[in-house]
Amino acid sequence: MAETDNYKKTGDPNNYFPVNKSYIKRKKIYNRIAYGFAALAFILGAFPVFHIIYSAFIIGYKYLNWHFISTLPTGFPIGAKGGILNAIVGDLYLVVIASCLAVPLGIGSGLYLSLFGKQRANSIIRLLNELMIGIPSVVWGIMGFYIFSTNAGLGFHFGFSALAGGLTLGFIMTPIVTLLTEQAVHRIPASYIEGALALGATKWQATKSVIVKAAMGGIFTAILLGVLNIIGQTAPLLFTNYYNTGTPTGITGPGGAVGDIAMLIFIYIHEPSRILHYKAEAAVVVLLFFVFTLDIGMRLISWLTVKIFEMF
Amino acid sequence: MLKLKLNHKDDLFKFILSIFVFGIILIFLTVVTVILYYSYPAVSRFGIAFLWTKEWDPPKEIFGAATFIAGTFMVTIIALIFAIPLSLGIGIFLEEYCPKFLKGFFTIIIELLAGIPSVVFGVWGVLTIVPWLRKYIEPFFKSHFSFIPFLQVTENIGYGILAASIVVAFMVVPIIASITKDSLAAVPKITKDGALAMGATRLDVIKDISLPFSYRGIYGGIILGFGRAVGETIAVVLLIGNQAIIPKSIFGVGYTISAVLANTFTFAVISPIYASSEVELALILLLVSLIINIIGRNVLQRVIGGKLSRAQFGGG
Repeated sequence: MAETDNYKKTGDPNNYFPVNKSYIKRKKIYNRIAYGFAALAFILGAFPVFHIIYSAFIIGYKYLNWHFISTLPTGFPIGAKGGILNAIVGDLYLVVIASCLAVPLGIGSGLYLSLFGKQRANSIIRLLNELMIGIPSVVWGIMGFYIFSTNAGLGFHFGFSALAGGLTLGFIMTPIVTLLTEQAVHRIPASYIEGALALGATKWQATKSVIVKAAMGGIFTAILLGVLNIIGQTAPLLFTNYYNTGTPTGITGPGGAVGDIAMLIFIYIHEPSRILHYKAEAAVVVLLFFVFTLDIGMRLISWLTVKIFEMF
Repeated sequence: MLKLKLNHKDDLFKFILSIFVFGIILIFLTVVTVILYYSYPAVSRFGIAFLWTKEWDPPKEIFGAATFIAGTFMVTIIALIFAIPLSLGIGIFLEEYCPKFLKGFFTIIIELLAGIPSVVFGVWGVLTIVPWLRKYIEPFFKSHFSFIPFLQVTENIGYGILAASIVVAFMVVPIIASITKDSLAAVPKITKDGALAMGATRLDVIKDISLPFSYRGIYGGIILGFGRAVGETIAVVLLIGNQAIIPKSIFGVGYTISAVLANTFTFAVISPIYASSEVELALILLLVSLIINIIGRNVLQRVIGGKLSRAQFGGG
């Protein structure tokens, strides 16, 4: 009220509205404080990303050389000398086997979801996929053990082997590829597909000549994200393909187990040996290099796809 | 015949694709069936009492999950207590306060956090969080706050519920933060701009417009984060201390369902009932994750549609 009285006294129109200046000041200060807290939360959240890289690098840097990624582990305890070639080769095995299962299955059902099917049935399949993404990886591991690895009872009796581990990882990867393929097809402008169909193309012809080309970037992103997801998995491999310090002799049965970078880290960090802890940190740097390369490659591909779309 | 069909309609194409879809359904049925089938002996032997029996004694064949359920929920709840304010802050910062030209870069940083594998988090916890707790936090609490229940420090070792919770919190943050961000981004811009034009501060806009509009999405994110935290395995195995006791304090050591599976499942398969009890633990995890994800998905569907955020696909 004081300000209105002030207007009556002075006749200054700038003082007409009853503005409580201290109230505004307080609001602005609260806003600043909220800004500060939000920024602090972000810094705290971003801190582990940098600190994980930094601490792994600081401890593991003296092992990071060509020798480390090009030799098999030797010495006592095993791994004290030599590198992690077994794990890199093993990861290659696992990713290839998992992709052989997940890529056709994921792309096929992603295309089905976006091209055919009734609304209701599709929403159920989508629900199943999202549920499978949420299933903890240790549960997948137990399933993989009983389906692929066990030598008693039902199942494929692959033993602890690359095939068993790879297929279990493929099960984890499939729903990811499916959902992202479907989204990639959805992102294509409807006019592309409708144009092809209006010209008399069947859906197969439209897929072959339009959809696959237009959604190529998105499908690649889907596959890369799937690989990114399985490359760091450890829990499923505990029960399906434990670890191998050498190269595998096959992909099933005894001698079929492969090394894996995540598994190697998990085993080394359990050992009561300082040198293996250092090597585990060096392996963390290698694993993070793979993960971040895939992540950034994936982003580049999807960014380029968007750019190419904008050009036309 | 076949050629005619192929030219005329997409029957063959549709048939081939539906085989793939059938494969997906088969995968889902396989995991559910295997877990149900192999847990059946334990379920029929111990019944519902499995959930609140504390003994876990393989030689005597007495199995009960209460200790592990308690450990799992303690880790999950404490992780969420850390993660929720942090990720709300991150979501709000990225969507409302962050300068436009940095937004993309900052979002990528948070999403990179989601891609870091769980074993890497575990190693980071062992070599960073545990020594930090042992050197600074636990002695501090021991000398100042030991009268508060749940905060007593008995063994000053660093490993325990708190170490596991801190690391799990960082693994959950990207999920909740990115879903919060997506929900805040779904608020109509014109409403926010209108409020700003009327002289509201950013804080007023967040408090009175954005959060009331998007709270459902944030709940959905928290639910999905809960689902992720419950099933977290490798990082927890490395940090929780692996002792089958119900912790009396957040600094105590404990055991979670996923940790006991990771540590003992391969030894358990020699005895059918032991293996079956372990699979029943997995059944608990599976059911919790399915229920949580159905709820979370339904909540999110209404806010941000079927959009999946990058952070939902974790790094294992």
